[in-house]
Amino acid sequence: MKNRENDVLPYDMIEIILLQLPVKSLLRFKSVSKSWEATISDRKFAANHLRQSKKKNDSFDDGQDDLLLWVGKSSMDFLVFNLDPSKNCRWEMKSLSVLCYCDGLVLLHRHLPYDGSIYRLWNPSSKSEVNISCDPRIHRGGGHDYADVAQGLYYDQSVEDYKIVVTDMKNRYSIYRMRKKLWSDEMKEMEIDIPGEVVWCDKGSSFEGDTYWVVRTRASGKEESFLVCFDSKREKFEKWGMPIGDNDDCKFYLTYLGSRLCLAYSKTKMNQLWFVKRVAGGGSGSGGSWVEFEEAMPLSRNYIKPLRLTNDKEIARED
Amino acid sequence: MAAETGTPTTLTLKSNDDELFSVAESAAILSVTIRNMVEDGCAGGVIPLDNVDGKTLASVITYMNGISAIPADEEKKKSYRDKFLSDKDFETLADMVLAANYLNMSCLMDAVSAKIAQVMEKKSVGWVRRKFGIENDYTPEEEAAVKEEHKWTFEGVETDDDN
Repeated sequence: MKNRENDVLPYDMIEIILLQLPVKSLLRFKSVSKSWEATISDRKFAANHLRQSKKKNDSFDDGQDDLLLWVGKSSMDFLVFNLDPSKNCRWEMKSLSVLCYCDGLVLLHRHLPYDGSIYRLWNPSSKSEVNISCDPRIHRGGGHDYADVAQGLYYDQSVEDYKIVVTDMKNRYSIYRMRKKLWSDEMKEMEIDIPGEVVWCDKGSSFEGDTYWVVRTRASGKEESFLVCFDSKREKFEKWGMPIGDNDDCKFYLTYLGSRLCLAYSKTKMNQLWFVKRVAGGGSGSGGSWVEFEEAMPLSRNYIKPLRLTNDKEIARED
Repeated sequence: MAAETGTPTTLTLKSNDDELFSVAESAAILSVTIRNMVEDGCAGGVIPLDNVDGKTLASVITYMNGISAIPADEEKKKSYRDKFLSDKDFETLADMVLAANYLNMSCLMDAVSAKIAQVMEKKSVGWVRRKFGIENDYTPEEEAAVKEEHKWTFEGVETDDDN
């Protein structure tokens, strides 16, 4: 072997190369030297790496490291598998349920029969996990009441940190900062009007830094669905009406197609799909933005199950 | 700037081991470094490139000619880049990434650094140290501890057969 001189490449160029490696290789190369370990462990590096992989996955046809998460019917068992079949791996976890996911991180809830419950943030690609105690101000039942609480997981670019938002979907919420390992000092007011009682609330869907939930309420004998959004930049909740009126036997739910967030509507033999879009400016007049529904698929009499977006931005569906 | 009509302008580039190369100005200005020299009017005679050797410069010029012959079609450009880099070994890639940086050619820089990452993805820690010329400054105990912490990442690593 031809031995090269020391410092084959200057350090800033090595960093550019490292940014393009998958997580598994990066963790292995922490053993190369102390300075490589320091670079790879640095949180600025981690933030750049995340940005780089997001850019790469924008053309999601080559999303080799994309993890596909399948949640079982009971939501108690789930499997994770890679789109590259040679890297398939499966996890089946007992006493854990999936609450939400964001950038390949999964927020789980762990039931502990006697000692209350905890959240667990799990990173399948680095196989690491962190336990987080529930906020007792929201979880008055010591965490057994997790079904009455809505959660969201998002990445706050301004502080380069992941955050968890939990709310009772009535009037209060609190935020957990992963790096500080703390819930917010005070409970905050949601400042939106949720009429009557909450009948059903979907898992939180993280999209472009914000979190969305479909919430169904019952007030004076009438049921109605809303889209509730947590705008993470302004730390404000918003409530949006659905694009079409609903009645008792229909269902709205959120789903991801490629890199888009979609709102789906299904009623017996009536189905429709919209892209959820956040449009800047105007709106409430507070310099914010509003949510628009862009029709992705017109009303159809066939039952559909959207699968994914193709490269031509067509919707592949299962009839 | 380029002549408005008539014959295309040709530039002469000189490597640090005194080899001379002729290249069409329209291809050479893919390098921002060369474009700036042309715009400042200091490209009249020979352009000396003190940080690039003849072998690497020949390769970079092949790339300049190849990529500038392709019309604005990102798919075709990408497949040209993939093919151009497919048979290059690590040493050649390392020389090219340095040249691309010096010549300020971002498209070549991105493609070569991505290729190096692809080459090293499944390689061992020892391979990386040898190729990058990096000294192991861990004590044996420290190294064992770092490896133990990320044990699973050592599964599926290629065996080194390059030495």
